[in-house]
Amino acid sequence: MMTADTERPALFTNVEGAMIQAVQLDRVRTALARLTDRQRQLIELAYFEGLTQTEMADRIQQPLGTVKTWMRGALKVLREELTTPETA
Amino acid sequence: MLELYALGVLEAEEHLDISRHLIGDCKVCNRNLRTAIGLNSAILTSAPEVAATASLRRRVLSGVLPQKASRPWAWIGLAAALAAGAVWTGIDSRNKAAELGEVRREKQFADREVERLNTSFAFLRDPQTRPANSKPGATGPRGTYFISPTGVLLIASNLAALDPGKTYAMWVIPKGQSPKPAGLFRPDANGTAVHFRSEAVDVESAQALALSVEPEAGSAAPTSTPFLITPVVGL
Repeated sequence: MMTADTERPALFTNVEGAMIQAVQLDRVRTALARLTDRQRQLIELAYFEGLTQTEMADRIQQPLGTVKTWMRGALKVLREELTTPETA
Repeated sequence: MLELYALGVLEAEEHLDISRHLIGDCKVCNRNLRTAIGLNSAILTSAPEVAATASLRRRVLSGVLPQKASRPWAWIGLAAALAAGAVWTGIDSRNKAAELGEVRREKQFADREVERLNTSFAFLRDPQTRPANSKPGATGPRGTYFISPTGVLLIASNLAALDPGKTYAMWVIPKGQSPKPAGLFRPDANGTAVHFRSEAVDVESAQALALSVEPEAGSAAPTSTPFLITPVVGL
């Protein structure tokens, strides 16, 4: 579960932490699967290539406004998936 | 767009607007920023899993150049990926350590069991130890048989050392029949032996149990005088 207090570093130092990390990975995978291909592409460009939205628009040859709309949608989905409590 | 702000990939003007707002100590936005950082952390630490293609990885790594100091995000992303790799390595090391710990515990248990058996055998070898139904001061081999439909167990002590090429043989003697072989064994250096013969036994027809000294390969019938003859008490 991601909460406002969940800002701990990614490195865990115990088995319980490793288990939590595995669950978290699964949630991230599920969240990314909910994105459209375009949204996922923008997330990869932001997180793993560090492009600004202007650079993304140039890279994928789309208007900046379109990129911003897609990015807002992607982040909304990710927040919904990764910042709500897990249900039993 | 706090996630992009935390990543450092917002356009300069947007970045500045948000920074000013956060400096104004907006509690809601600061809380949302912490949430955004958490979400970013979750996505970045999944890097080994979600990095879609090898070409993407190559682009990320080739893009990390010292002169791009104005883009610290690249180092953040790489550091996060390396941290994730370190976490997986750590997980594997911890798994192996857990397995090794389990093996150690099993060995310690086995060692305690061996110690317990050695203590029991030492007790058996003690000249003062005797079966409760025998007279004190009895010399010579001592032993107790246990019998069931599934086998025969002998715990013996004070057995004489054997010449090379010789062995002890256990016999089940049925009523009115010749002795049937029930396995070969040699005692340890202290004359102690635990011999277990796992096979079907007709307990109701067994009359007695006995030992004899036989050639190393055994024999179909006793070739020496049987000793430690113990009657089997019937039902």
